[in-house]
Amino acid sequence: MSLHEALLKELQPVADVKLLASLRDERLMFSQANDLRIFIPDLHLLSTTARQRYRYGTNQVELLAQVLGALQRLKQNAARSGGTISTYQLGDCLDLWREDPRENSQLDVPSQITDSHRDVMSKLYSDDLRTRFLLGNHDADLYRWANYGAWQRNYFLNQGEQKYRGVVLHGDIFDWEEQFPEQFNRWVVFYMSPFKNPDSYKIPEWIDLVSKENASRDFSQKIGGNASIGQTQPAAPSAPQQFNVATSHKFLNAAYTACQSVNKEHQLKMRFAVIGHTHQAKIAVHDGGKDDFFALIDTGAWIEDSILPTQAVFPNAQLTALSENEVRIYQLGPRGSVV
Amino acid sequence: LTPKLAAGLNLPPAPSKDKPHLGNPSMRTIPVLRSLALCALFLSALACSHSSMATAVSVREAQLRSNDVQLPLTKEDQDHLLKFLIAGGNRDSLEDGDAVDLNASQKYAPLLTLLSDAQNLDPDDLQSPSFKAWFPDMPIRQVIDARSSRPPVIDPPFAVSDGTYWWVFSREGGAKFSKLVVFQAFHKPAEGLPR
Repeated sequence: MSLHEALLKELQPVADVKLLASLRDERLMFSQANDLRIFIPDLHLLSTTARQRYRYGTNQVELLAQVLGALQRLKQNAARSGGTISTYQLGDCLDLWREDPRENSQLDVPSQITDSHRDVMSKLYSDDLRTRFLLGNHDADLYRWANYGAWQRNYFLNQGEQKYRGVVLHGDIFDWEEQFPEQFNRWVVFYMSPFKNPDSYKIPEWIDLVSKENASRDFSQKIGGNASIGQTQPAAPSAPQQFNVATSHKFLNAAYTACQSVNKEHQLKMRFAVIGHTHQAKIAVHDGGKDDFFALIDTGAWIEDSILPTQAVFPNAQLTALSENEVRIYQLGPRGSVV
Repeated sequence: LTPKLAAGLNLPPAPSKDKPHLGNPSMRTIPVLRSLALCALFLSALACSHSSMATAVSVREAQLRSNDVQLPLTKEDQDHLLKFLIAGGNRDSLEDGDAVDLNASQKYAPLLTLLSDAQNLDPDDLQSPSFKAWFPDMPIRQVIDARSSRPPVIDPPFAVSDGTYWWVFSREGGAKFSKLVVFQAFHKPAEGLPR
């Protein structure tokens, strides 16, 4: 049984699972069968008190906890048969920005939020799952707290001898191309180049840009807004080679160009980037033939909604899995729900 | 209390010596206020001069620290430390080899080579030009390690930082360093305290 199948087998007893997009291409160069990477997109958790101030919040929190439990079991089972399961949270796990006005950030805001979500956070943090976290633009300030020292701005994915085939990052940097064009070129290197020591950059300068990015937006009604996606289909052990794969995405060109630049500068062969941030689950591909291939894997969110071509609306609750040169994005719902 | 300082403290101006005091009770409180302000200034100055505690280094949790490795380093321990540093000091990434800082190899490999030689393990060596490239400051001897049964009053470890990690060397009763643990330095607040 492949790890994709094993994942599905664990998810289906706790969730209604639909395939939202899939891509199988050997040019992803992430081929090992005993290695599955799972990506959990933006959660935007708020404390119970702060949640009351907004008309929207994290979707399906109970389901999320059940899904994380399924991932714990998957990881334990895979370890017994020599498989490796790695879990990543793509940033904006804790929504500090909406939780508390910035001037009050001396308060222990992260604990206010995690106290309200002990089930989810304890599973994410468990020794069973050992989730790796990214800093997003809504929780960038976590860099100030000692207990969040392991939260990073990027991870470069290794797989045996296939070194650094892809990068995982929150993705807000690509918004900066329009918003802060002068700073974009410099900071995109910070996020994309594995040879740039993060400590060589001025963290407060980065935080100031994130603050400006956030301050220019009104999060009272929405963050990313509703996502338009293609028709979903029931998840099955085998997924189509291409399903709902797009050739356009607002960040595709910027991500492709940045990866090409880093590849050229450092003789790397990064073929994909995994992001969150937009809340628009999608796989988008640049395919110039042969090795001129790049996939942008936008993992969606657990907040806000998606709209099907039929105009049916459902809450975002997505999970992305990568193994054996195949990436799948699943839409999850409570058992018995109709997606 | 100079008039300028009093103005800064938002106190009323001192009554002129040439004019008799008015019988107004609020005017009689002014000397008291001035005395209180002076006391407050003195106490706050005293507090400031004694407010900083001596710096201590705390050993991080298992996820965020390397193995305790024996010195001089074996090839196996060098590999472990290098992988740990490439992973950004997060042990969770060791399982699948994800990287956060590929520059770590170039930056730290020469240091690990130095630490593989028994000739470089005297505490004084940390102040030598060879090590200064990584450890520009004096070692800190106040190390908190909750894994120990008691605080290390006798022969405390030597903690030095390259700006990103703490490197804590112990002698374990000998003359030379025999043990090392590396963990992420939490230096971020110094870059910008919460606003």
